[in-house]
Amino acid sequence: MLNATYWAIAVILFIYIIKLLRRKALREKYAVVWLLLGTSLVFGAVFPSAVNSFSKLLGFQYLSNFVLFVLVLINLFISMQLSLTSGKLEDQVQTLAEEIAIIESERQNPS
Amino acid sequence: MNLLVVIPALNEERSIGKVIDQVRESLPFASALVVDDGSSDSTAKVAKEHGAMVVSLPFNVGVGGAVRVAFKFALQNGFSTVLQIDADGQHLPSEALALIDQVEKDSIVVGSRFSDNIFNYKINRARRFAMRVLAQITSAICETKLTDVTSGFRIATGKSIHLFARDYPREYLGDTVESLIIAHKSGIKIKEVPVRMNPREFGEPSQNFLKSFWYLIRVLLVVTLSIYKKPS
Repeated sequence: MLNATYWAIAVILFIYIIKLLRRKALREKYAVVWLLLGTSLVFGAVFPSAVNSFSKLLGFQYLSNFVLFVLVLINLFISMQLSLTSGKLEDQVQTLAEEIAIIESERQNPS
Repeated sequence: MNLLVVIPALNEERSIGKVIDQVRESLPFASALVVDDGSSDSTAKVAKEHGAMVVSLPFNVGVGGAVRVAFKFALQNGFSTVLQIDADGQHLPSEALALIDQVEKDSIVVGSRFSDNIFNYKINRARRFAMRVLAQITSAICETKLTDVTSGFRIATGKSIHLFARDYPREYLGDTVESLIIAHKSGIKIKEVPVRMNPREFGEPSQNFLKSFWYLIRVLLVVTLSIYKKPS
């Protein structure tokens, strides 16, 4: 049952990402990491034993620890990315606002 | 001297008119520029009525951003000297002459309310402590004796205008301190001159202990980072 749920989540997420990409709602730049996540989820659903042995290989006692660890890592990476992007956007928006303000003032009082 | 007086303003319709009048009276040779930082009141309208040039930001970007716009404006319109004063009537334009007196090529002169006697300007203890710590640290970094590093009453010339048009820090409240450090790193001379200041006419200065403490922590962080930041 759990396995079926896992399957469903992995496949739905994967399809959803593809759909967002097709609608151009998700830029390719960010899609890579999400696609990787989607594919690895599907991979984990198809070959659970492979994931299991890989986690054993890395020295994890429990599979769940390994999965959680990886997910946390991915989340950390994504939120870092988002912080960087939003900081950059903020800078750009502000610079634009500054330019607009100056241009607008020149338009209103031509010297 | 080709002087631009810059007044960053956010919802200051009650005091801005008077400040502009004082500027025109005390510094008749200067041009006044009000940077309206997305005010929701009639700050821009009042400023225009009192004969100032106005640059209106489409939304609030914070004092740092507003000041940077002013430096861009100064650069584009060929001003050689920029005097920055607050819109709340705290700074006396007549005192600006003391700053102008000390100005050199490529320098910054800060008007300090503490230079003479720290007690002549009423301020609560926690905030005074925070300002003292900041002043000492900034003095050490900038290799100049400074007592009032958060003062927004300052004059900039030459290279500092180019620098600030490009790189004025936008961090909320930390901008005054960080801008001095950036300037020092670029080899700009920093000086301080004692000035008289009014207590604020309108608006509550932030005056509780916790606020002062957080303010200090935040600015210290900004200062620490600014030492290691790569110049852009």
